[in-house]
Amino acid sequence: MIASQIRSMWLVFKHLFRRNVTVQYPEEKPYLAPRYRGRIILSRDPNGDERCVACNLCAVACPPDCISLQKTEDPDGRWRPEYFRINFSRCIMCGLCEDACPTYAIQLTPDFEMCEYDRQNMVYEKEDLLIDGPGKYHDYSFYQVAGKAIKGKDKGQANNEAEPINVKSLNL
Amino acid sequence: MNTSIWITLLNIFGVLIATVLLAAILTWGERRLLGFWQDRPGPNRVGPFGTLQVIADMIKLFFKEDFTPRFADIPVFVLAPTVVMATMLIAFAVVPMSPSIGVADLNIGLLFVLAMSSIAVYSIILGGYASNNKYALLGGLRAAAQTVSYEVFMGLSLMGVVMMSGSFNLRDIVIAQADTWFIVPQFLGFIVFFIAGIAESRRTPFDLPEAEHELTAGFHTEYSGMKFGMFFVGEYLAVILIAALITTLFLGGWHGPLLPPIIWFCLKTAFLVAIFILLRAALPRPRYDQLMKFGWKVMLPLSLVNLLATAGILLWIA
Amino acid sequence: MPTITIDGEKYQVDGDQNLLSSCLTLGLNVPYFCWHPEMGSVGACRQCAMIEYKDSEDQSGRLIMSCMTPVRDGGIYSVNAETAKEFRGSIIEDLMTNHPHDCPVCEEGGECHLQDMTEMSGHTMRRYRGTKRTHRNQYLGPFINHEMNRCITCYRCTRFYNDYAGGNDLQALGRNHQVYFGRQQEGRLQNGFSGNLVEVCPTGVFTDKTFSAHFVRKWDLQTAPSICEHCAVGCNTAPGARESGNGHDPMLRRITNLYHHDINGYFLCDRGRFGYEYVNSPTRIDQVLSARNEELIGSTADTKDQLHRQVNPRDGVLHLSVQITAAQRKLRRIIGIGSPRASLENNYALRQLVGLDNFFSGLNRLDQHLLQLVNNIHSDNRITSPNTPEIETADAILIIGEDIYNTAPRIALAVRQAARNRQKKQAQDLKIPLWQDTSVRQLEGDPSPIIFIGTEFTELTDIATTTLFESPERVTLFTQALTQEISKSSKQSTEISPEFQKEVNHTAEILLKATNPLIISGISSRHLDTLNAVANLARVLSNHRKVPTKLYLNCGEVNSLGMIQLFNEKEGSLEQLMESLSVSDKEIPTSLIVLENDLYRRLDTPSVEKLLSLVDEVILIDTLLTPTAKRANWIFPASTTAESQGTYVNNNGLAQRFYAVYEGKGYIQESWRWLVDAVDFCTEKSENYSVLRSWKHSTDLSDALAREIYTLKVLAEIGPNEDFRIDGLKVARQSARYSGRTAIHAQQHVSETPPIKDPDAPMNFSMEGIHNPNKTQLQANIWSPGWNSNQSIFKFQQQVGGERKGGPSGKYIEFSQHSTQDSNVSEETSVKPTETSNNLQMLPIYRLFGSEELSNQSMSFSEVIEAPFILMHPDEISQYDTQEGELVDIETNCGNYRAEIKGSNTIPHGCIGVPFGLPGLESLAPQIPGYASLRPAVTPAISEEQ
Repeated sequence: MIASQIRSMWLVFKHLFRRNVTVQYPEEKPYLAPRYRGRIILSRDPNGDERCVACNLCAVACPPDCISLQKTEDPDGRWRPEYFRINFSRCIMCGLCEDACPTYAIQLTPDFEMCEYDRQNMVYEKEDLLIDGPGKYHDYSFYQVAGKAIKGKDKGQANNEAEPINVKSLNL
Repeated sequence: MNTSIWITLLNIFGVLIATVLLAAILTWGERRLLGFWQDRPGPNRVGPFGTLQVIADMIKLFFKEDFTPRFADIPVFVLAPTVVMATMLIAFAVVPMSPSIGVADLNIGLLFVLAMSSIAVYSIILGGYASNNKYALLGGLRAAAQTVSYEVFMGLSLMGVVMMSGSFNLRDIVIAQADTWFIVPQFLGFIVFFIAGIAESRRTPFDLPEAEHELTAGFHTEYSGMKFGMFFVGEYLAVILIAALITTLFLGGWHGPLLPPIIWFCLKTAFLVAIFILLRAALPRPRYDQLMKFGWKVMLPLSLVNLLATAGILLWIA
Repeated sequence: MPTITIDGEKYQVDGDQNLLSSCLTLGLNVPYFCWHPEMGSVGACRQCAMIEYKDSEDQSGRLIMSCMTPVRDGGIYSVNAETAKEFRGSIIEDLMTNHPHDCPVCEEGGECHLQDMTEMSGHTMRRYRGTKRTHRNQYLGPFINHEMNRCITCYRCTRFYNDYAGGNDLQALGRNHQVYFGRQQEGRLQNGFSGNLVEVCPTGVFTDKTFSAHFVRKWDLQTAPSICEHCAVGCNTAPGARESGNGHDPMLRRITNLYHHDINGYFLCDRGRFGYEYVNSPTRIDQVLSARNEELIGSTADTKDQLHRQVNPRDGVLHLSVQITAAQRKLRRIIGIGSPRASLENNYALRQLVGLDNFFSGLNRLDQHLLQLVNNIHSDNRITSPNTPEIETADAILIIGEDIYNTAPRIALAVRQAARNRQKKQAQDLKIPLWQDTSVRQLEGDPSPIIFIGTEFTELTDIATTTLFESPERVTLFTQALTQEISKSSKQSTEISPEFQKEVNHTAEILLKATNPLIISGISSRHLDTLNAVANLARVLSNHRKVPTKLYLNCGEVNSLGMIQLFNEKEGSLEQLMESLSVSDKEIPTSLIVLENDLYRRLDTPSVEKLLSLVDEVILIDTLLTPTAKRANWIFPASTTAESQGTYVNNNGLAQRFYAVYEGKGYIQESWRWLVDAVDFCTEKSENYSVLRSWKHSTDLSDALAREIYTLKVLAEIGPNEDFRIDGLKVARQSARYSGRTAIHAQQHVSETPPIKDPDAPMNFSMEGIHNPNKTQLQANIWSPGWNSNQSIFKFQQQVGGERKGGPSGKYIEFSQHSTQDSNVSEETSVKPTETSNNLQMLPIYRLFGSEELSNQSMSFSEVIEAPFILMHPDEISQYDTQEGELVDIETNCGNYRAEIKGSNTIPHGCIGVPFGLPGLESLAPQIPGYASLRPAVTPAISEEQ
C-alpha cells in the first residue's frame, strides 16, 4: 500500500517536467475542428431556401429543452418554422439537435465565444440563427429527397421517383 | 534601550512578518506547484509569473462581503478564526531558525509547540459549532476526533528525539544533531511525526474536516471574507510550522555545509512544504473510519515500538 | 379457455379471438397493419407473421398470418423465431420501397404506426435502388389532408369508410402496384365519420388538416381525459393543447378519440373531432367586459345592444359581490339561468348562489318538459338505456322521430353495426369467426330489421329495412297503434289507414320476434306526445317480454340530463321566469345571471327582449360572444370543457368527469369560480355563502352535489379527487418527451416560470408526475414504449376491445324510482296555430355541421355548414311561386328569415323542415314546432335575422 502511495507521488512529481497542455486563451486561440460543437446555426439549402422544415425533432432531442419552434406551411407547400428559438443560456452544446435534424438545417459551428452581460441576450430567434449558406453540407436539399410536392417540384420530380400514376388511364 | 532588545524586537517582527508573508506566498506557491504537477501553468496572470496573485487574493478577501449568518453564535463565530492564526504564530516563537535567529529559547519549547498546535483545533471546533450548520458542525467534530487521535502519537513519536538529545529545548535538540541528523536513528519517529503533522495541519489526505465532496466546505462552510482568510492563512502557517519542526527535530535544523545556517533552515523547510503539496497533488482522501483505524491501529503501536526501542537502545548503550 | 404456448411460455387466451389479438391482449409486441380491433382481419399486409409448430418435436414450424389464425388449444407458436422475424423484416422493407421519406414534413410523424412497425421489424437500411411509385393527391375537404405517396395499401381506410361507416365516396382505385385510395373526383368526404381515417390510417395518407394549421408533434401535446361537448352521447376524447411560443395564447390543438368501451369505442364523429376550434375562436371571451354608457356615433349596432369595454376583473367581481350583498339584504333580487351545456358543478354553484326559487334552466317550457319526461322515463325500471355495445348487438331496432346521424352521430355508427347482426348470426351458425371480416361480409343474408319513422333520416337509409317519413302527429299515431298492437288492446284507432296498419303490424311482429329489440328516440322532434307514446311502447314491450326494454333517448345537449336533475318537476322554464318577473315587486331591482347560455336560441326573439326588459341588469358568464352577450351589462369569461373540470351526464345517465387539459388564456376561469370569487368579496355573513366560500376545488362542488341531490349521489365516487396520488405523485399531463420547456417563453423571460398549479385534479400541468397511470382513468396520452401511435390503446385495455385497465370512467346516476303512470301526456305545450295566415308547420331537421351551437364557431366548419335553407316536399314548392334553389322569405310571428328552398321527399305535405340552430336561422329554432308562411324573396333583401 505504501509503495503504491509513493509511486503515485513519484508519478505526479514527474509531471513537473511535462509540457503544459493549457492554451493561453485569448492571446493564443486553440484549434477548433470544423465539426466542433459550438454556437448553433440554421442553414439554407443550395437554392437559398430555409432548410428547416419545423419537424420538431431537434426540440425533442434537446436534453435541456432549450429549443422551441412552431410549424407553419408556406403557400408553396413547404413546411417552415414560424418562429425558431434557442435559449443559449440553457444550451449545453451537446449536438444532439444536429444529430436529430433530418434536413441538415441545424448545425453546430466552431464558435463558442458568446458571452453576454444580460442573460436575455442569450435567447436567439430564427433571424439570429439563420446563415446564408448551406453550412457543412453543400449539396443537400431535403425536398429533393422527400416525396412531398412543393411549388417547383411536383410529384415524381424528386430523386428516384417515377412519374405520378394516372389512375384513370387504362395503361396500369 | 540596548542592542539585545533591538535584536529581540528584530527577531520577533522578522519572524512574524516572514512567516505571515510566507504563508501568503504559499497560497500562490501551492497553486502554482499543483498546476505544474497537473500539466497546467497555475495562476500566471497577475504580475510576473502570477506572483501578485497573492495581492489580488488579499484584496478580494478584504473586500468580499463579510457575511455572518443570522443563525450563528456570533461572538464565537467571529473569534474562532483568530484562534488558529494566533496559536500558529505564537508557536513559531520557539522555533530556532539559526544560531542567532529565534524569538524565545524555552526549556520546554517542544511541549509549547505541541500545546499550541493542539489549541489551534479549538478554532475549528468552535468555528464549526458557532456556524450552526450541519456541515460545519460535522467538520468541527471530525477535526476534534482527528486531533485527539493523532495528538497522542505525535507527542510519543517525539519522545525518542527528546531521549536522544536529553532536552525539550528545540535549540538544544538542533545542537544535538550537529553530527547525525535524528532522521537516521529516529527514522520511525520521523515517519510517524510526519504523518501526524499532516493530520494536525488538516492537509490532504487528512483534510476530512473540510472534505468538500461530503461536507461542502466543512467547518468553514459559513465563513467568508477575511474570516475565511484567517482559516486559510492558519492552515498555511500550520504547514510551515510542521515543516519547520520536522527540520528542527529530524533534519538537523540549520546545520549544513557551506551555506549560511538560515538558508539551510529555509531550504529544508521549503523542501518539506513542497512534499506536503506533492502529497496533496497525489494522494486521495481516505474514508473517515480508515483515518481513525490507521491512527489507532498502525501509528500508535508504531510510535510505542519506536519509543521502547529507543529507550532500550539508549539504556543498552548507557 | 384454450392454453397456448408462445415462445416457450404458456398462456390462457380467449378462444373467440384470433392469434394476433390474443398476443396483443397478452402484451406481446406483434407488428400488424391491416388488422383493426374493431374491423377484424383481412390478412392483406402479411406483417403479423408468426410461426406455428405442429408439436413440441417440430423444430422448423411454418409461417402463419396470426391475424388469420384462430387460436388452437395446445397450439405452439413463436413470435420471435428467426424465420418469422426475417419474413416480417422483408415485408416491411417491401412496403417501404415506395415510401416518400417525408416524415419530417408529415403530420403523422411521431405517432405513426408505420414508423413504429418499421422500428419493431428492424428495417433500418434501404437496399432498394429503383424508382418510387408516386401518386397525386386530392382535395378532400377542410378536415382531411391527403398524401397518397405514403400509402402502404393496407385497405384500412376503405374498410372503415365504406364497410364500417357506410360511406360511398372513398374507393380503392387502380390495381396491382398502383392502387389509389381516393374519391372519383376531388371534394369533401361526405361521411360524417371521415375524421376517423386519421386514426385508422397507419401512415400519413389521411391527416388532420385542422391540426396541421397549428401543428405540434404528439409528444408536445398536453392531454387530459375529456368529454366531447357537441352532443349528448358523451364520447370520451383526449384533447391536446400546447402553449405558443410566439406571444399568442395557449391553444387547443386537436381532439383525438379516447377509447371508452361503453360509449365511443375507437371512433368519434367529425363534429366531435373537428368542432374543437371554437375554443380558439376570435369570438372567445377572455376578459371581463362591462357595458359602457356612451354611445358611439355612426355605430351599426342595434340600439339596444350594449357596447363593452375591458375592465379589471377585480372590478367585475366587486360589482357582482355588491349585487350579491344587496340581494342578501333584500335590496335586490338575483335570478340565475343555468344551461344544459354547462357542467353540473357550474349549474349547481349558480343554484346555490341564487337559491332554488330563483334558479331557472334556460330552456323554454317545451324543452324543459321534454327533458323532465325523459328523466321520468329513465326512472321507470321497465326501461333501460342501452350503451353502444348493446346497441351494436340489438337484432331489431326501431327509431322513432330521431335523426340520429345528425343529433347523436356516434349512435348512428352503432346502429349501422347492428344492421349486420343477422349476417353475424349466420356466420356463427356456419362456424366462421366474426373477426374473419371479409368472409362474414361476403355472406348473403338479410340485413337486421331497422325501422325508422320520423321526419328525416340521414345517411342510414341504406341499412334501414323500413323507412316511413311522417309528420310528428302521425309518428305519435303510429307509435300508439304499435303499442296497442303489442298489448293486444282491443280498442282500435279509427284514424289509421290500412297501409299504415300494415306497417304497424309488420313492426310489431318484428319487435315481438326479436330476441334483443331496441328502441331509439329522443327530444329532437320536439314533440311531447311522441315521447310519451314511445315511453308507453317501451313499457308495453317490457310487460310483454318480461325484461326491461332497451330504450335509447337522445337529450340534445351535453349535460341536458344532468342539468334537469337540479330542478323540481315542471319547474324552471324561462316562461315561468317571465311569469315570476311580471308579478314580482317592481321596487326591488333585479339582476339576471346567465350561465353559459344564449337565450336567443331558447326563446323566440320578442320573448327574450321582453324578458331582458323585465330585469335591470344582465350578467353573463360565457365562453363565446353570443347574441345574448350584446345585451349583457357585465360579461365574465368562462372556460370551455377543455379548460375546466366538471361533470356531464350523458344520454345513458352516465355521469362522467372531464379534466382541464390546459389553462385558458386571459382571465378565463370556471364559471363557478367567478361566483365563488364574488361571494368571497361579499361582506354579508350567511350560511349559504359560507358554503360557497368553502369551495376550493371542483370536487368540493361534486361532493356537495352528491350530498344534496339524491339522483346525483354517485358524483362522490366518480374518478379520483384532487388528493389522489400514485407513489406520492400527481399524474403528468405532458409526456416525458415534452419539448421546449426552457425556450418557449424565453423571448419574454429568459428565466422559467413555475408551472401553473391545478387545484382541481390529481394532475400537473407539466411533465412532473406519473406518466402511465394505468390503474386509473386519468390516462389520456395513449402511448407505450415502441407504440407511439394511437394503436397502443391495446396496452391500456384489459383485453383487445375490452374495458380500459383503469376501469370504466363515470358512474350511472340513479334516477329517482317514483312510480310513473303508463300515460302522462302533458296537456299544455301542444302548439296551436295562432294565426291562420301562417299555415306551414315547421319541423326541426338537424345537421351534423350547423345544428350545434359551439362547434358552429369552429373555423373549419365555415366551409361545411350549409347556407340557410328550408326543406319542403318537391310537389308543394310550386304552390309558392318559387322553385328549388330559389330564395324564399319565411314569415313567422316573431320575424322574417330568408333561406334557400330545397326539395325533399321526406318532408310531409303542409310542413317545412327548418334546420335547427343553423347559422342565420338560430333564432328560428325556438319557434319550432310552430307555424310559418312562405313567399318568394323580393329584393332588396330584408335582414336575415328579423
